[in-house]
Amino acid sequence: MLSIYFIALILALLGLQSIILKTNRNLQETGIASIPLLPTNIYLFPHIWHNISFVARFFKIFLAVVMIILVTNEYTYNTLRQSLITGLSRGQIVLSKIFDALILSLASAILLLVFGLVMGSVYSSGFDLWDVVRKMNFLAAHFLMVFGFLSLAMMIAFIVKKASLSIMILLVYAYILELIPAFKYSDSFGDFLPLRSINLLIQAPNTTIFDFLHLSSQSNHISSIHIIVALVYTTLFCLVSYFVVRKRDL
Amino acid sequence: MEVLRVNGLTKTYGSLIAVNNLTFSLKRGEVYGILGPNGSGKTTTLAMLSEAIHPSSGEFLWFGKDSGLNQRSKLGIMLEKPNFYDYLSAKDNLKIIADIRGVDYSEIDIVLKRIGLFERCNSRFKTFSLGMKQRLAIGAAVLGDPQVLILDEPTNGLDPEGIAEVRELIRKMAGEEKTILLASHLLDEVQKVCTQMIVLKKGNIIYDGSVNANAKNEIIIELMAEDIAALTEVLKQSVDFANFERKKEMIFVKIAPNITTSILNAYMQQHDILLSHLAYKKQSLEEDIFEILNEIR
Ligand SMILES: Nc1ncnc2c1ncn2[C@@H]1O[C@H](COP(=O)(O)OP(=O)(O)O)[C@@H](O)[C@H]1O
Ligand SMILES: [Mg+2]
Repeated sequence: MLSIYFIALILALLGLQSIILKTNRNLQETGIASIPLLPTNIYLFPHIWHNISFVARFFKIFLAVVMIILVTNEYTYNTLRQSLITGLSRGQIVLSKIFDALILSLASAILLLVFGLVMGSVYSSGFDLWDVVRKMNFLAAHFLMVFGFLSLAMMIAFIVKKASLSIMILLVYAYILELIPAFKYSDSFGDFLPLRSINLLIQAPNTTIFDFLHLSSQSNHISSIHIIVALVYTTLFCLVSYFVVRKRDL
Repeated sequence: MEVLRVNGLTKTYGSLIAVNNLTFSLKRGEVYGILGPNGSGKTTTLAMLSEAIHPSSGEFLWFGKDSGLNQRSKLGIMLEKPNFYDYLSAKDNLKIIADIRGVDYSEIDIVLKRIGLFERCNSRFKTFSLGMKQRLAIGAAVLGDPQVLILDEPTNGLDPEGIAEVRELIRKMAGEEKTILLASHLLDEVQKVCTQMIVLKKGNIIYDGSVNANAKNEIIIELMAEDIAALTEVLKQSVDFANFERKKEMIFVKIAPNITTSILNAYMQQHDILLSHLAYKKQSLEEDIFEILNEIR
């Protein structure tokens, strides 16, 4: 599962470039002059960090599945009970899973870092260190976003215990339930819902390529209010996980 | 010295009282058996003492304190069915346990040899037979040489040879000044391994005391028959039922605890005696225990 995530993400990142090139060609052939051609290079420093972490946003569900399995396996094999009678406290059990989530998020950020460094140096002309590191804060935002999402997945898995059901609940929540309020009311109404606020950490790059996708929110910055909201939710998910495990018979 | 004190420990599941108001204590260096048929609350009790499940009410103190983490390292616990990672080897599973308990990896091989899994230590857990899994669970409990051992049906699923080995292991550890609490549905096992026993029936303690004081006792069964003379004659000639007395129309037979009423009944039928009454003598506490012990056998 983990390797699926890494491979899919890399393929998507690589594929993006060719999709843009192809769209450009189509646009030229149809000859609609009013539509500006898309900039062809998304791999330029420093914007590459923003671009790739935005694309990676759509792949975090794979990591969430890994996280869910990590937690629900403990229930299926009853190893939570084994760890507990061996001497781990309930708090330590939850901490070990939070640690797993941290590792996964870190691995994901490192993957983006390596990918970005490689592709960035290939496509950027010249090498200005300030350009390379300038927008790396998007990697940190990516880390926080994945970690927040994984802690939600972890909380659901701790509560539900079953892998398939947890994944279903996460999918239904992430792709259906949370979209309803935004649909029904104003667009910004759902901004403080857990997933949307986590996703708002990295908004679509405000460039022509992504303009073309008609995304509702765009920003080239990471706003501190979104960081705070994401941190609050992440803490909440971890705390709920802890209280669930503390109250429950294992 | 008191190792464990349990006070009014109770666990309910909805309307079912799985464990009802248990009060007992364990002294250091003794081997205790919790004896009771399936569903009598043995695992539930041990799981509460291990803090895997929360008591509905009551309390217990390990070494005179509310159990905390520092106490846990003194307890080696094995509950019900063995729970390990299927896809890891025996050795890797024990490494996880060793990490948690802060035990040196060098002890793992010693334990593996002790439980007879050394040759298979690199096989995945899921390839193990039930007996091997059970032995690994015992290994996980004894890793780190804890002062107290809690063992839930440790010989479950083992072949006769394995059973003998595990009992030998327990006896050996009993000789090392360890306090052992062993749950079993086998009277025979408790008698062979334990010095003290607690008998559970539907979550209630019905006996708490020495193993031997009880095992030597005999049960009294009441018999009545149309032809009481023929009955006494058959009894006199039998091996197992010759110890009886007659009071008016009722015969009281003293039998060893390993004999059930059905055996007696069958014996009478073989000798063409039609019993009109067959019952345990009125249920005193002690007789109640034996009835259960007979049930479990
Ligand atoms: N999680 C549970 N939910 C509901 N009932 C349970 C649960 N665990 C045990 N029980 C019930 O509690 C009683 C005692 O079970 P248990 O402690 O496993 O008995 P034993 O170990 O002596 O065989 C049984 O009637 C069992 O069905
Ligand atoms: Mg049991």
